[in-house]
Amino acid sequence: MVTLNDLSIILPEIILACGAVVVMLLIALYRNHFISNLLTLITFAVAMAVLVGQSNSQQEVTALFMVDPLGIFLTGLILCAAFIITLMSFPYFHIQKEVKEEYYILLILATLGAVCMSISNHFISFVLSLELLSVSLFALIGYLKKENISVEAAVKYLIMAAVATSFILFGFALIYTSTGRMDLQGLGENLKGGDPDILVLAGLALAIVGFGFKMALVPFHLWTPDIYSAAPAPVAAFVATISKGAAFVFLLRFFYSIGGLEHESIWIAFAVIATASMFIGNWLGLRQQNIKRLIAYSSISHLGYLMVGFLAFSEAGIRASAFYLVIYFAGILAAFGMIAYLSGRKGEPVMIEDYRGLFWSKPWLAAFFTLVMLSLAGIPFTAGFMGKFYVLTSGMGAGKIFLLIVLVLSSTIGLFYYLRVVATMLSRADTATTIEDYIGKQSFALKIIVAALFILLLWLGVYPNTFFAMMGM
Amino acid sequence: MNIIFYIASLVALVATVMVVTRKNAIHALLYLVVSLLAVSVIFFISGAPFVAALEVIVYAGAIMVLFVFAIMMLNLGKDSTQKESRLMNFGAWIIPALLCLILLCELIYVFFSYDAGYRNVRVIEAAEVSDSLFGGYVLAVELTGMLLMAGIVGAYHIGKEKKREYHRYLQLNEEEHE
Repeated sequence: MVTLNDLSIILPEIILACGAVVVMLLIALYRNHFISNLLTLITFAVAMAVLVGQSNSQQEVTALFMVDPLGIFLTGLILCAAFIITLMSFPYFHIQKEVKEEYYILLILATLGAVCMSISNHFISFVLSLELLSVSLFALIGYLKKENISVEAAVKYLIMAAVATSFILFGFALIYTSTGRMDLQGLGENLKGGDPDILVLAGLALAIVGFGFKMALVPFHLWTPDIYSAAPAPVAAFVATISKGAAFVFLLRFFYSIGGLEHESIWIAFAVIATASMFIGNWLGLRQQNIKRLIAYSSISHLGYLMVGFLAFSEAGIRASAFYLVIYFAGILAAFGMIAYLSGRKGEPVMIEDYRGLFWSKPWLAAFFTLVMLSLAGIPFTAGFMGKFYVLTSGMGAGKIFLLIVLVLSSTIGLFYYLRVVATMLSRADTATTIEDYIGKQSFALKIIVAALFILLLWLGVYPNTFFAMMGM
Repeated sequence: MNIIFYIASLVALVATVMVVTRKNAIHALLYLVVSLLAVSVIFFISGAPFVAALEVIVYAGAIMVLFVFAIMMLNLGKDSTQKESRLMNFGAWIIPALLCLILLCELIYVFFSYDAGYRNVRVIEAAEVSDSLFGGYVLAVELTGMLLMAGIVGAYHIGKEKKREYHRYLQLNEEEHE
C-alpha cells in the first residue's frame, strides 16, 4: 500500500503531475502564452525546491519506485534542464503562428515521464514512464504542424519509439518468463552469481536493442539526425538531453542491480556498441553542413563516452557518468540554446554557413558558441574536458584500456568538426551572412540562459571541486 | 494445446496484416476486432481467463464503440444509408467472419477437451485484480492516467484544424504569406 510517507518521498513527481493538470485547466479558462509559460516554470521550480529539501537516502516507494541518491541527482538535473528549456521555449514559440499553450502541458508530462523513469525500480514503472515520455515527445516534435518536415520527423519518431518499446517489452517478457520477477531487486537476487539461462540472455539482448534506440547508440542511431534537424530547437534539446539521460540512468540501474556486466558476452556487446558510437558518431559528423545534424552526431559520440563510464562497472563509474551527464546536458542545452537565440521569424540558422563571420558582427555570441563547441570537443579548461577526464579515470580504475584508447582516438577525430564551426565563425569573408532579426535580441530570458550556461561551462572546466562538494560526491 | 496456440496466433497475424492494408477504415476496424479476439483466445488457453475476458470487454468492446462512432461521424452525408449498405457487402465481412469462426471452433474444442492437466490453473477474481491495481500498483495506474492525458492533448493539438474566419480575399493573402 501507498502510505503518506511514500507520497512525501515522491512529492516532486506529484507536483509535476499537478502542474500539468493546472496548466491544462487554465487553458480551458483563459489562453495566454505568458501565463502558461510562467506556470510551467513555477511547477519546475517548486518541484526542484521540494527535491532539494529531501533527505539524500535510499527509500523504496512501493515496489515500483526507488528514490536513491542517483535518482534524486538525476531528477534534479532533469528539472533544471526542463526549466532552462521552458525559458528557451517562450521567445522561440512566441513568434510562431501555432497555438502555444498545449506545448507546456506536453513539456511537463514528458518531464514527468523522464523523472519517473530515473527513479523506476520495476519493469512496469519503467515501461509506463517510457511511454509517457515518448507519447509526449511525438506531439512535441511535430508541434509546429505547419512545417511538413516536423510532422515527418514526428511520424518517424513514433515508429522508431514504437519499435524500441516493443523490443523492450518482448525482452522484459522473456526475462519475466525465466525468472518470474519484474522488480530489479528480485531480478538481482535471481540472477546474481549463476550463469543466466538462454531466455534471460535473449531478453537482455532485446532490451539492449530497445535502450540503444532510446539513447541513439550506434547501430540504432539512424533516427537521431533527422529528428534533431526537423524538431523545434527546444524540443530537440529535450530529446537530446532529458530523454537520453533518463534512459541511461535506468540502463545503469538495471544492469548494475542484476550484475549483468559481470557476464562476458553482455559486457562485450556493450563495449562494441560504445566503440561504434564513439567512432561512427564522430566520423559521420565530419562532413555535416547542417549544425543541428552535427550536434546530433556529436550527441551520439557523447553517449558513447558515457557508456565507457557505465562499462567501468564501479562506484567511480557511476559518479563519473553522473558528472558527465551534467556536462553533456549543459553543452547540448547551450548549443541548442544558441540556435534558438539566433532563430527568428524566418526560421532557425541551421547551416554552418549561416554562422560565417559571426565573430565580426556579434563577438560575444560567437565567443560563447566557441566555448560550447570546445566544451563538446573536450578541450582543457572547458567542462567537456573535465567530464572526459573523470570518465577516463573511472575507466582506468577498472582497467578497460581498449575503451580508453578508442575514446581518445575518436575525440581527436571529433575535434575536427567542432573546430570547423569555430573556423567558419572566425573567417572574415565577403559572403558573411548577418543575422539581424533574431529573437535573442529582445529576450531577457535567453540572455540569462546563455550567460548562466557560459559561466557553468567555464566553472565546471576550471574548478569542479565546489560542484562535487555541492553534490556530495 | 500447442496447435491451438499456433492457429490462434496465425489468425491474429493475418487479421493484423489486414488491418494495416485495408483502405476502408471500417473494414480495418473489423479486422482489428478479430485480431483482438484472437489474442484473447491466446490468453485464455495460456491459463489467464480473466485477462481474456478483459481483452474482449475492454478492447473489442471499446473498438466496437469506436466502430459505431466512425460510422456516425464519417458518413454524415445524405447518402449515408446507401453508403452503409455498401459498406457491408459480402466480400467485406466474409473473411473476418471466417476467422472468427476458426476462433470459435478452437474455444469449443478447448471446452470439450478440458482435461485434468489444466485444472490446476488458479482462477483470479476481479477483486484480486483490483486489490493489486489500487494497492501496490496504484502509482502505475496514476502514471497511466498521465499517459492518457499526454495522448489526448497531443492528439488534440495535432488533429486540430485552425478556424478560418477571414474574408475570402484576406484568406488568399494569408495563404500566400505562409
